[in-house]
Amino acid sequence: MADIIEGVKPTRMELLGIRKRRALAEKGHKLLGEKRDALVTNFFDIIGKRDAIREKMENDLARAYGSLIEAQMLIGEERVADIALDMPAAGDITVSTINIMGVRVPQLGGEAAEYAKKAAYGFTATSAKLDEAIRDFRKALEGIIRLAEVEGGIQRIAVEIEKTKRRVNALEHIFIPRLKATVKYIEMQLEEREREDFFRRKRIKALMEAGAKSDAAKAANA
Amino acid sequence: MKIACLGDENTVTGMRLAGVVNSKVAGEGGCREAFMELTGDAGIGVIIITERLADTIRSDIDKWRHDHTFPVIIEIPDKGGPIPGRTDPIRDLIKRAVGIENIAAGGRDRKSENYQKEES
Repeated sequence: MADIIEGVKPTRMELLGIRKRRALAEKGHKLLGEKRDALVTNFFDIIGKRDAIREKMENDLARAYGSLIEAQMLIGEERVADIALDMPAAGDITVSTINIMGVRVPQLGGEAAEYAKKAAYGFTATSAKLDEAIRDFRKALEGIIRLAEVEGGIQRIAVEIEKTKRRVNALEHIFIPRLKATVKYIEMQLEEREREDFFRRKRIKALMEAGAKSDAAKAANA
Repeated sequence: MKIACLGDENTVTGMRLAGVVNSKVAGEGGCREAFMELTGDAGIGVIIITERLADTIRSDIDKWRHDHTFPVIIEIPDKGGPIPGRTDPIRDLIKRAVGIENIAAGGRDRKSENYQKEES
């Protein structure tokens, strides 16, 4: 049996109050349980996508690293690094959030792979491998952005699921049993008091009747 | 918003080639400071970090991810490929959230059965 709430007075007013709290706790428990289930359903949808995107991104990235190493072998590491410093910036990404059951899930949009201007290096001093490396890395970057969106979403939803689960469990295993135990305690106290009252009344009545009888007897004797 | 990258030299060179201008070479030493600097910049929407560096500042990353939606932090393998035997932080998170591991696409029905069992 769970503990009762500390410092509660066994009165009818308290009983009414605690019954109300119990009804609220049970309603909250039901709602949070539904929220948890909905989040988990959404979660499974996203997780299914994640593995495929991750694998594709890792393959793209591995190819990009391969091209980079070849380019470095052909025209020298330093030269590649210099050219890299002078590359045009990728377009900005737009970020926003969508709301899934009160969770803000990130959405990354815009074309990261849109470039304002052409690369600033000469074709004579470089190799085609460098172009390949650039193309491969741009492709990998697209995958990375898509993956970032998915993993960011997983992250947010997972945190929320944990939070909701904790709340559901606390309600289910601590608050509701405690409220139930308190209601029972007050009910028993009140019943006990009623029985005491009843007995006291009976007893007083009996005493009074006995007193009245002896008075009558005395009066008769006199 | 902008994309930023934190990694070893090769990764940063590659990312710069792809147009990620905010790329920074970091060793294990200055990694935490560099990371803090990037997260403090409100104009950055995505931080790309190599797995190897991410593992050295795991607690900072986890904490940041727990409290913030943006910037999204994404861990990528470096030139050597994914570190073998490494626990994937996202997979770890999934495991903690739903109590099961290895949710492959297509196996959903079976998995949700498991989930029900776990709950009851």
